[in-house]
Amino acid sequence: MMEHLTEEQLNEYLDNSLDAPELARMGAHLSDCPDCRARLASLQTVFQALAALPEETPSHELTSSVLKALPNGSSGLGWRLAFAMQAGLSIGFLLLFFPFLASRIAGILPGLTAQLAVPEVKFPNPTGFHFSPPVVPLPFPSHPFSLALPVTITHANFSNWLLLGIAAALLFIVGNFSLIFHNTSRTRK
Amino acid sequence: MDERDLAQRAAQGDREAFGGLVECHQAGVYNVAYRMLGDCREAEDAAQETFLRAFRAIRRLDPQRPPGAWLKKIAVNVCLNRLERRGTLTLDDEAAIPASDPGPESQTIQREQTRQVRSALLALPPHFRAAIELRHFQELSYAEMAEALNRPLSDIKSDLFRARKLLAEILRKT
Repeated sequence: MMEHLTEEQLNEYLDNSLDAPELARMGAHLSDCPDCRARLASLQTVFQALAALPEETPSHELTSSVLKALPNGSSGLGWRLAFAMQAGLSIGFLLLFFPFLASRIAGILPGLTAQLAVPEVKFPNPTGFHFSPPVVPLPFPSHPFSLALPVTITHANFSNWLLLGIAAALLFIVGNFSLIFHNTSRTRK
Repeated sequence: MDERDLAQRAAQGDREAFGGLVECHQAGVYNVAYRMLGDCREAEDAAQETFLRAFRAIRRLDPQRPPGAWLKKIAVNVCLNRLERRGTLTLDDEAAIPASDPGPESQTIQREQTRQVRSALLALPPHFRAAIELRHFQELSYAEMAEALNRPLSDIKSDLFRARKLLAEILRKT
C-alpha cells in the first residue's frame, strides 16, 4: 500500500482536478485505507454543507439605488475623444501654419520679438572649455505657398516659438472651456 | 434581451441597459457579499460598490464572457478589500448572523445548520473566504481563481485547502 494521501491529493480528488491514472491510484488506495477515507469524508462534509447554503434575497431593490449613484454623463469616453481631437487639431493647425506665422510675426512685431528674445547669458567658465549649443533643425515641411523659411531654433526666432506656444495654449484653454460650458448647460436642461 | 446585449449596450453608456444588468445579477452579487461579510447591510453596500465599479470598468468586459461571473469576481474583490480594511472581526461577524426563528422542527434544524455554516465561513481569514467563494459558489478552476484574485496558483490552492480543513474542524465542533 502506498503512503497516506496528502491534503492536496484529497482536495484535488474532490475538485476533479486529477488525471485518470492518478484517480485510479487514489481509488485503489482509498478502498484499502480507512484513515484516508475518513479524511476524505470529513472534507466531503464541507462540500455538502456549502452546497446546502440557501441563497438570500436583498432586503430592498438595488437597481434604483445603483442607478442613482452612477456618475453623471456617459462614461467619459466622449470627453476623452473631444480632448484628443481638440489637441490634435490644435497641433496640426499650428504645424501647418507655423512657417507662415513665424515670418509674419517677426515682420509685424520686431520690437516685441526683440524684447521677448532670450538674451545670451555669460556664465563664468573656469575650465576654459567652450561649448556651443547646437542649432536644431526641425522637420517642418515647407509651406505650400512658398512663404516658408527653413526653421531652426535660434535666439532670433525663439520669441516666435513663445508666441506660438501661447497661442496654442489659449486655443486649447478656450476650446476646453467651451466644451465644459456646453456639457454643463446640456446636463442642466 | 440577452444579458450580453445588455452589457454591450451598457458599455456604450446606456444606463438603462446597465440597470437591466443590475436587476439580473443583484441577488447573485448580494449573496457573494453576504457570504463573505456576514452582514445584510454591509452586503448591500458592497453589492452597490460592486456595480459602481463594474459600470466604470464595463468597457473592459470581454463580450464573450458572461457578465454574471465577471460581476461576482468584482464582488469578491470588493469584499476582500472591505475585510482587509476592517480586520477579521470573527466574533462580531458571528453575532451578525441572525439566530434561528421558532418554527416547524425540520425548518428550525435547517436554519440552525445554515447559521452554523455561515458562522464557520465568517470565522475564516479573508483570503480563505474568497477562495471558498470562488471555488464552491462561482465554480472557478484553480487557474481562474488565481487570475481573479491576482495571486500565484500555489497560494490559491494552499488557501483553499487550508480553508476547507479549517471549515471541517469548525463544523465538527459545532
